[in-house]
Amino acid sequence: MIGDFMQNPRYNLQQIQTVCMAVASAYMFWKGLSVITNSPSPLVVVLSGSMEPAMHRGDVLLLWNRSKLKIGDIVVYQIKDKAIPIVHRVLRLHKSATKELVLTKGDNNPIDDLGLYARGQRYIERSHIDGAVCAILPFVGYVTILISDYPWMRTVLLPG
Amino acid sequence: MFSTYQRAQGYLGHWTTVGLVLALTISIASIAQLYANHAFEIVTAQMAATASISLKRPISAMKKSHEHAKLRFDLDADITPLFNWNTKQVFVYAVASYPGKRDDIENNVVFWDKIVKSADEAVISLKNARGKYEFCDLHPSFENRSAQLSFGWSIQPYTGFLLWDNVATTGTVQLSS
Repeated sequence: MIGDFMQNPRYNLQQIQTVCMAVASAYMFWKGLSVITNSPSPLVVVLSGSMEPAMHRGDVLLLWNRSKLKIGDIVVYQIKDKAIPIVHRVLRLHKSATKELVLTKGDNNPIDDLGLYARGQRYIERSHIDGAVCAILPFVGYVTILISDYPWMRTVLLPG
Repeated sequence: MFSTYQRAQGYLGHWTTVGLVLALTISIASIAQLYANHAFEIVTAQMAATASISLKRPISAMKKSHEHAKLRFDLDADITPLFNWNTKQVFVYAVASYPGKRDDIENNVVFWDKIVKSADEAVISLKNARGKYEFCDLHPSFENRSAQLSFGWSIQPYTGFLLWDNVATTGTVQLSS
């Protein structure tokens, strides 16, 4: 291995540098977008069908977290101790100068999200919200769904 | 000089850029068209409602009994101009807004909504319709406040930016039993 490397060190170093550059620029893009939108995860992939037909599985959503919430916004929120963020619409909004309390509902669900929240939680607070959806890009996120639904795809799509 | 990996990366990068530019162009063209057709100014709505208030036992995390409001309402709105080739659906909703205990508190609740998928169903005319959602305040009682009625719409496009507006109406409803 090291012998191979030393055969042509300049070329091999350049290769490593290229890979590092690719990783660094992807990271820079992500973090840059995060700063601009003020959201910890500015791009999310829709994983469930609870917002059909507004958004389908595999759609990529761009979030914006710099404006005040309003009714009818589609927000992405996190529930304590639950790993997956949820994309649903604001059904009720109670706001004061310091607080914003939100009740959400999926367009395609028969009832509101009260049952999805943590025990004893009646509302989502502003700090639980990663941002409101400001743009939709269809299909692009389907790769991630393929990977999570069919683990063998991982080896095909992400070799090495 | 170029490895397969580098070629693939170049390809992917190129098509990502092409896709993003295309999506942005589609979105801007569609919004420009809606704007040129004055789509955002045309939507007006007429609303009226009556409320029935009942005291209900606490559910889930509530500690006290709360007043729940059920509305019956009239709504006339035409959202036909919001449909073009990039409109996947328009989500419409009826909102009641009422003040809170302090001046800085503002409460907005949706009591009815609908997914409108095509221009064929874009004329909304409801008479004495039942609200889809009953609602309660953070405090146990509405204290006979009166709520302003408004009509909201939000366009979900196939590609691009979401658009929305809240159309104020002259309708009010008294939240008292």
